[in-house]
Amino acid sequence: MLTSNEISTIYDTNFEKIYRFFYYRFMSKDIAEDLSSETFVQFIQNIKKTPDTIIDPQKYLFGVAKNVYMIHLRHKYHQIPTYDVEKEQEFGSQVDEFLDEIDSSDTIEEIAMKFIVKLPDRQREIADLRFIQKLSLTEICQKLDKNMNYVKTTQRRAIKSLKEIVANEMLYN
Amino acid sequence: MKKIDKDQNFINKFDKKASMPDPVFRYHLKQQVLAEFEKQNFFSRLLNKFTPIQIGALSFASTCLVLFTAFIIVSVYTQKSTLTIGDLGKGISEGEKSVILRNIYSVNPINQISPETALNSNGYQTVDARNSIENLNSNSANTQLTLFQYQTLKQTYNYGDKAQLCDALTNLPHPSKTESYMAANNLTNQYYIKNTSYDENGQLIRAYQADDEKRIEYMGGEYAIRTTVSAPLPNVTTDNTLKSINATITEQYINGKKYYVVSNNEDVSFCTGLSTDAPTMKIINQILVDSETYKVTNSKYYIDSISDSNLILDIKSEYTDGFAVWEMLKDNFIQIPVQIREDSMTITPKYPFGIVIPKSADYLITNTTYTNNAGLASHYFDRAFYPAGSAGDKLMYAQLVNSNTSISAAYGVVVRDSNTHTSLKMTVQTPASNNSTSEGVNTPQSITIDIDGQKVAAKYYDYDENVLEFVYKDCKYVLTYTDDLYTIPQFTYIAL
Repeated sequence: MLTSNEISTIYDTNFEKIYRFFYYRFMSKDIAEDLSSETFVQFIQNIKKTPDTIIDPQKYLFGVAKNVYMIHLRHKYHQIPTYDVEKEQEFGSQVDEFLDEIDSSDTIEEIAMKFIVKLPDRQREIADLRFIQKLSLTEICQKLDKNMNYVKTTQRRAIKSLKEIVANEMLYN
Repeated sequence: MKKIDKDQNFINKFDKKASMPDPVFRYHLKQQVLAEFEKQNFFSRLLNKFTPIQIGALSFASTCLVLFTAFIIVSVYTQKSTLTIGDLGKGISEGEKSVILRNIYSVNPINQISPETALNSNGYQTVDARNSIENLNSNSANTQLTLFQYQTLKQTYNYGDKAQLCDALTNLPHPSKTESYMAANNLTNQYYIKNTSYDENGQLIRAYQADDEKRIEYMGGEYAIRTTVSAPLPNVTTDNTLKSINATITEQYINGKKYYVVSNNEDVSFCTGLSTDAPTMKIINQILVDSETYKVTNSKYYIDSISDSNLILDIKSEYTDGFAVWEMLKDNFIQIPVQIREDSMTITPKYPFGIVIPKSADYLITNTTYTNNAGLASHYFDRAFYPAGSAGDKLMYAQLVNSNTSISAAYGVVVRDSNTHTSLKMTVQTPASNNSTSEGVNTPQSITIDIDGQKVAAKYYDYDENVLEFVYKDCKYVLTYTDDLYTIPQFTYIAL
């Protein structure tokens, strides 16, 4: 049976990683707070139910986090994500790798670009001009010789797709 | 400028600083986690003080105590026999569930079973009432030429603590009471509909009355409009069969009478704003249904979870049924408190009306509306037709936003796949218009779709919402997918 001190240590060591993982996945502080709370509360509840079967609490915590993440994905995007069983055991290290990659980027644009490159052609073009090259909507219209409706709607689609790519990226790549 | 800021905000979310947790939240969650853990430890420690035999004895004593308490409670409630003593949660098979849902949908106005209609309809039921007339007729054993079968429905609206979170409710003047009176004689094809909505002071805020010759509409403004109808309103048939929707049903007994409790939840955006990008909010709908008549007697709408503090709206419904002769109905016409102006508009629907729906059996038509633009050309654009003040401004705005002002006559249909939550909106315009809804936005792809085995040329626009346009049986169809569908579904045509 774990002690309060051990629970405290597990929380201190892993909270920030789990929170930031959820934040980047769903680009929302509110969702990150909700999902991190859910992860830790479920973790404690499961420890209560089966205290002797949890061999590696930290690994188990990330298993719960993965489960919370997948349920939220299903709810948000109405799809059942496929998941590589081989990687399932290493969810904690995947989170570490993901955050390391983010933290090794020097600028916001560099982080954003990791995801923008995965957009479909037209959306990528607009997202690049808008977010990376910082052109105004009018400038983009002139540059591409397109009307404002096209640029606005494509930008909206790009943001929507970008959110989905960021949320699902770990599962599908 | 605002838009630019919003775009910039989006990219700023990638910032590392933005991804760091709030220290206050971090601290509080830790306290909560440790408290949760300590709670468990308290019982563990307590149990560790006893031997297994003592624990067994304690368990036996506790069980006896629980059973005795339960016996006392049941005895007391049985004697009173006025409170709910139901057998909640009794298992209902999928087959039974499907029959129950179909019956509920076929006998009730949609505002009692759909969160969107209930929270957005503002208590107004025009087309719904027309559908109810058809239900009235289909259930009628009436064989006399002079008798009308009628049904009245009184609904009382009570708004909960969370009503203010729903824009759809706060944007428009909402009723505290509505009354509907529907009567029909299917032998003579005569019908009569009256809907009235009142505010909390008992003032009439909206009225709608229609029969097979005329209709009167009052929106709370300086005057009402009477329209003479040159042709009968076309029948609107709605396939209200619920297919594989994720509803749960339990049985409940109240005063010895069996009711069904149907709970369903839906992520909706209309509560948070008019924009299609508005964030969604989980609305839980719980309805209480008479197991004999399948009439909804109570509809409650909650946000997030079922609890009194999360209540948005509680609608109580009372019904009466009977037969009346025309002379009695005439006395039932609404007393409109303002001048009634005559409108020269005539409704001349061009047949055949019809709709196409995806062939997938999982699709469900959830809403059908009929609009005719001739009426919109006059009084709907007149500010005086609506109530004074900001409530009237909002009502006029909502009315115009919700109406398609560019077509002469149309059906609007919302089709939803309850499994994937994918939905599409459809307008059917007649006569076929040459105006392209999507002209100037993007270059369409020319594709061919299949309707009942016929190949039909269509234009497919790929922009924020995918749009499919085609002409079939003299009508122009415009389908807007509210979610990406990468394959174009095949369609079935349904004549109305």
